[in-house]
Amino acid sequence: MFKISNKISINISLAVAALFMIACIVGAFIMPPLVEMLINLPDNIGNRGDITEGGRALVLVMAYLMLAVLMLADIFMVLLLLRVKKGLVFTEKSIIFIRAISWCCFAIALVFCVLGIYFQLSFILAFFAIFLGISLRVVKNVIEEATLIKSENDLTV
Amino acid sequence: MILINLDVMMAKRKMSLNELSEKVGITLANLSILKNNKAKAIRFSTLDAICKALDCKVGDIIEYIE
Repeated sequence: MFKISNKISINISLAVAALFMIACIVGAFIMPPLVEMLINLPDNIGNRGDITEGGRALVLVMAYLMLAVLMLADIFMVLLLLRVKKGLVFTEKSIIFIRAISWCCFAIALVFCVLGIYFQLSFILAFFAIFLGISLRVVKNVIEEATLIKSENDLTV
Repeated sequence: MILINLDVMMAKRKMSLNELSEKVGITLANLSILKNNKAKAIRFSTLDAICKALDCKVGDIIEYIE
């Protein structure tokens, strides 16, 4: 079976994370027309009704907020990947990064819920974001336990 | 809590950490962890070797305090 080596896999993840960051930066510049396009889409994916100017501003603010949280999560992911590359997986800092990414997922879910006022489809995305956040918390708990075991193992004479 | 009195026994036997490390067969780093009360567990084999090297009982090295 085709298997990518651990080192290459980490490098691919880092490259994808870097590309994601670039996409976020580009997204920040084209966000207003992007949001406008989303608002003007045919109304077959959710009931938007007539969005007022204030509503449009709220959608734009939420979109930027989501982008900021995504960028933050991406930074944490890169930091985590760099630690994995150095072989420092089961450490306190790794747990902090995973916890932070998990909280970012919950924050994004919250933003999706607010956007649900205008785009009902957002509730489904919020559901997935919450699921991802919970999954990450489970991974964090597993790594936390493994870190404890490793620490005990390291300090067994 | 468990207190390790390795330094006391070493002083009594006038034995250095290097010497004990060689006699017991564990690394200086691990012995230092034990001596400074940083260890979370100790193997029976290590305890046996230390007691043999220092010619003492387990209670001379390990002590329980409230």
